[in-house]
Amino acid sequence: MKVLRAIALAAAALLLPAAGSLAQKNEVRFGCYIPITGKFAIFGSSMKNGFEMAQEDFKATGKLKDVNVVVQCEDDQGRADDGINIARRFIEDENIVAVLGSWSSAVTLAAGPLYNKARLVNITPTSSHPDVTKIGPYVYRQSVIQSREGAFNGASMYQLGARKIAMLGIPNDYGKANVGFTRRSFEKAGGEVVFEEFVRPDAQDFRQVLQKAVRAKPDMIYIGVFVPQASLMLKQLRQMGVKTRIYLAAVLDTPDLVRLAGAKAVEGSLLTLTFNPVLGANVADFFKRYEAKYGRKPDPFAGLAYQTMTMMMGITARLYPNVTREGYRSELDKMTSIDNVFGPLTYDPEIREWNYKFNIGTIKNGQTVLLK
Amino acid sequence: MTYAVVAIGFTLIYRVLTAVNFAHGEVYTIGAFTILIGATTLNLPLWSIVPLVVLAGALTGYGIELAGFRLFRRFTDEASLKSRAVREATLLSSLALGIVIREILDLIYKGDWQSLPETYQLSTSLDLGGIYISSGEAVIAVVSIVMLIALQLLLHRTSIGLAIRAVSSNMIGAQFSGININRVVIAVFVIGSVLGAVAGMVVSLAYGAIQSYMGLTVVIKAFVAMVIGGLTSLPGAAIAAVMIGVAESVAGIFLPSAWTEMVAYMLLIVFLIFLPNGLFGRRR
Repeated sequence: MKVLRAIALAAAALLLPAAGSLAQKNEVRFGCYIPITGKFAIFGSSMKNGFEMAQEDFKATGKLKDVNVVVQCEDDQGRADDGINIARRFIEDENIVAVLGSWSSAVTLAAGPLYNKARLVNITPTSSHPDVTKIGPYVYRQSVIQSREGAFNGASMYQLGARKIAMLGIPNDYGKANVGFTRRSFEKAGGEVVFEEFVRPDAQDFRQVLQKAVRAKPDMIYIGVFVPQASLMLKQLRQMGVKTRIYLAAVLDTPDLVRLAGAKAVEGSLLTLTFNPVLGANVADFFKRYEAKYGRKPDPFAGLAYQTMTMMMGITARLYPNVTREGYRSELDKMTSIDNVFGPLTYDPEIREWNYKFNIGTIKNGQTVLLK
Repeated sequence: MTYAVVAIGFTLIYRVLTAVNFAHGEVYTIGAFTILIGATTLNLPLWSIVPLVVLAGALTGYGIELAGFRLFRRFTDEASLKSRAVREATLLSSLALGIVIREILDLIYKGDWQSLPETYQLSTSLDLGGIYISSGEAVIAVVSIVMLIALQLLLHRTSIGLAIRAVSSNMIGAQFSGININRVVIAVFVIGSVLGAVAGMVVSLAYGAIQSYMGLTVVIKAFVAMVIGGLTSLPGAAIAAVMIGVAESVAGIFLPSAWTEMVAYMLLIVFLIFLPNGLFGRRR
């Protein structure tokens, strides 16, 4: 018994200074779960860059000068089971004050309930499925919501003269919500969806499905897939000599589209814009600084991560030194507006969503031009 | 046709070693990345990149054999050659090698999709009586047929082909006949990997999109084709691979395209139930 007591005392003596040193270091630690490896690693990398840039910019303001803010990013590979395992670790780690992530709606929808139950704030910068914030009061979102983007997409296509459209999406939570809400809005406006199909995300040859879409004789083809598939579809449509007008989802408002598909293939495509240098000085400045720092143009995920992290840094500054998990929830609920890279946004506390402004653009000579 | 070329390389290795090389998909990926590097970093003309792809495939195959297989078959006695444990170890080591290659490519290219410059892409549209195919797809078909014929000639008209057939038929007997087993195994990996790398190259030229994970789906389909073809039969693997490709295309007419992914696996299940020896498999 004496031996056990001696071991316990020795262990306590070893642990106490360690616990004290954490406080001395003035550290605030956020958890983060994003795809770092795997097929979606590029999107996680964009988000990580966005977090990093926001931290540096916030530090430059002189606030939280002596506080070491750490974003501990873990790799969920875009997989729900990994997201759940990471959630269990973050919840147990008392140093984690709030969690950022995931990139994918499917992963956030799987891990969110665990954070909500543990009363640990989980804010996703990018997951746009409408059900994300319905998980519970501890799950927040900083991105566009699919029900609103879909409403805009559908109405825009009708307004642009389309009466019959073909729709292509990907069979995941994002893709189904994106296509579903766009379809609803287009039909509500009086249009008809003559073709709808979800494609295999790993496919390279989309000619067959594109031929089926074209045979349905639409006025416009709506593409709501990610950049790699969209770039292949656009190239193949051009190869097939298809002249039907194309409308692209907001997720495709990224410089990667022209890089992967080539300027010729995307020429004349219409698209929903939320994050583009043509939309204002804020986003143009962000593009310039991001490209200078990382050697490539940012995608919307980098911008959303930047915006989220800036907001979380602001909250940390307000809370410090009384930084608690509950404090973040209380401060997030007080948010009414933010003016960041996506321009001035207001928050709707009723549905707990941000009101993003959508615009229509078109691509000319590889450059996006504002249409409206 | 792409499935067929990859499946043949895959089956060739299985036929000789009775071991599955799951790093074969990464050989396909390396073929694609070699053409990307040749086109974007080295700015070489297409004709001069083709030998580089062949070389990259050969070196990768040799490297996989050395790192993933040779170490586990260093004993040449009959028990070791027939050991199931060795086969399982090489299956896992090749899987691990594949992951390592993929992760290295991911680290270099940050997991991002890459695009071949348009001047390199074979994207001219060909109208075959209402059916549109690109020049890249035509090249895939032609290159695949040429490679399949070349492989048959190599196996049946050359001394190394004879040695490969002897080793695949009876490794111990071939060893006693004075055939250098290591040399044959290296040749098999080199030939199989050249086929895989060239397949990766032509697919990249046809579609222009390259990513570190592109070999994953193809190697799984090649594995399915190998099983349906009868495990050790090269014509069987080729026919099964074409069958899978055609079945997926036909299914795409009637089914949503997202569902066509299951066609290969449905075929596999049907074969395992009703024709467990595959198309040309030996009765076990």
